Amino acid sequence: MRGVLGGFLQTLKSFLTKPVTRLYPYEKPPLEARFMGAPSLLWDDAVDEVVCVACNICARSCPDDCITLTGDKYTAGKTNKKNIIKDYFIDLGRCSYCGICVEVCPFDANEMSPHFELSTYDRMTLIYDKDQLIEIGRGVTRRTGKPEPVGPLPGILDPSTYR
Amino acid sequence: MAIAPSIDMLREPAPSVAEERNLETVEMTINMGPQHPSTHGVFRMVLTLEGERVKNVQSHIGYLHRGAEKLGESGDLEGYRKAMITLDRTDYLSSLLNEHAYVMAVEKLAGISVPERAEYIRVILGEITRINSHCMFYGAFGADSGATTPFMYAFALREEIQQLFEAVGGARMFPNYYRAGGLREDVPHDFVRRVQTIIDRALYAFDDFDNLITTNEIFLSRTRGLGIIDQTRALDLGVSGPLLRATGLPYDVRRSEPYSIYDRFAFDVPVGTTGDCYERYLIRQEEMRQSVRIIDQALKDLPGGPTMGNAPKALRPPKGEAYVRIENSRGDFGVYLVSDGKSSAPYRVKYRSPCFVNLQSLNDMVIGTYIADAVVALGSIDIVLGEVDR
Repeated sequence: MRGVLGGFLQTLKSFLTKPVTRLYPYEKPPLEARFMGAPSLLWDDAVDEVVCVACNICARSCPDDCITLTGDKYTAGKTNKKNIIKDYFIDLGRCSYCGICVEVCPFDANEMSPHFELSTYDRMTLIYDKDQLIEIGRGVTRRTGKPEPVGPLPGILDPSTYR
Repeated sequence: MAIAPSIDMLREPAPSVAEERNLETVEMTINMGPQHPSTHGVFRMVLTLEGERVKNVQSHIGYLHRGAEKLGESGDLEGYRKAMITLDRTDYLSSLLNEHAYVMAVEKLAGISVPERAEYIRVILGEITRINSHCMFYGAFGADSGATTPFMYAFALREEIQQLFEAVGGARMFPNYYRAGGLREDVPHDFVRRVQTIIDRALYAFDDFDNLITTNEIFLSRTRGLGIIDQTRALDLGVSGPLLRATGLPYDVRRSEPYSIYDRFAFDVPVGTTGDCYERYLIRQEEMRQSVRIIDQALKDLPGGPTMGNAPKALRPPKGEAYVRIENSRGDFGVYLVSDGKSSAPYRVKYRSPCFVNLQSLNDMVIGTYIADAVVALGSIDIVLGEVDR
């Protein structure tokens, strides 16, 4: 009998403390600075084009084979790269968000963005093309291999849009 | 006045229903799983019942087979990193412990040394993973034996731990954080403070866990004396981890064959005497406290310096093979790697998963018990089907 009472006392104690539950879609949890959401392509603001040079290392290193890309000869002449991407697809339905593509990139051209609310009704819409990947990469800075920023990173999506 | 039979009395080997009442009984076969919540995944048991008693049990595994070993052997670039992605997803509750085994195997194969700081961080995160996994056991085992509240308590602590994993490795369950030669990157600047907060909270949480069910009479009568396996049988079956230690054998790979830097820490290996479900529960509770002890010592000695050793950028180990084993939260986990010396992916990957071996003891535990106790006995093995089926 004492053991059962101990359990009831414990639940009573918890009843009087603050709940740990978060009302998720309304109340967003803080994301850590290293949080790995969907992979994204980075935009070089200085020359107004993507950083990527279509070297294919990310696609070859991907454990899930979810990256497909094709390159084009680079003719704009703003930087000294030889190729630039024509198409870049990531199948986020296959992606395991491991971050290896970011780690192996020799040109710092991609980063894991904090976007994680990717659910859709159609599987085909999970195949993100170049423009979508650049779009989710806006405001994301290259973190891997750089000195650590201080403090947690707040979610970059406005919580009010989810109410 | 008739005395209602206690649950302990009912558990004594009763004469079979047919003999007692002189009735003709028909054996019934029922199918439990693969979509049953208390089979911990997609495990399927075909139980042959005589009345309420289990006469035979046949286990069917393989519903979650994803070919993790074969996928680990593929790869054009970075093959040694790719294997870890699938390894993380085999035993999804102790991913960092398994990563530790895998990177140690790669390091042994390629002759890479690891900096002190990386070793300490691996031990700290590994022991936190063990707490995380045993919390899951605590919650699920409570639910199996009829108490739903422990699940919430366990997950409150798990949430904090997974938040730490997110801060360290970027993902809550599959951090993919260890690399051959060290770590992917150094831990965040507030790592020591956060780990300290977690272990302080964890010690309070363990007391709460104890208050809830450890001395609860219903829980005791559900678990004590159930699923007994003696030491010789356990050794014959090859079980390891808390199942083996509950039979009284203090076998722990961290102690018997110290790997990494486990020989520097003082910790006890809790053992049981009878080897029943309740002792397996108690041993896991005590192991969580011992893990906190190890983390405490490791945090005090945590050195500075680099976290990545002399690992080459493109890993191509010489021809050879390596086997490394560690004490997983479920038992003796081993990784066997073969390199052909030419490619950048392992030629062969083999995981020795403790769950698969421990699950073989199910027949010994379950036959002769009531069907409701079969669920508790299965829960006490603490299987993860991802690791059984790989």
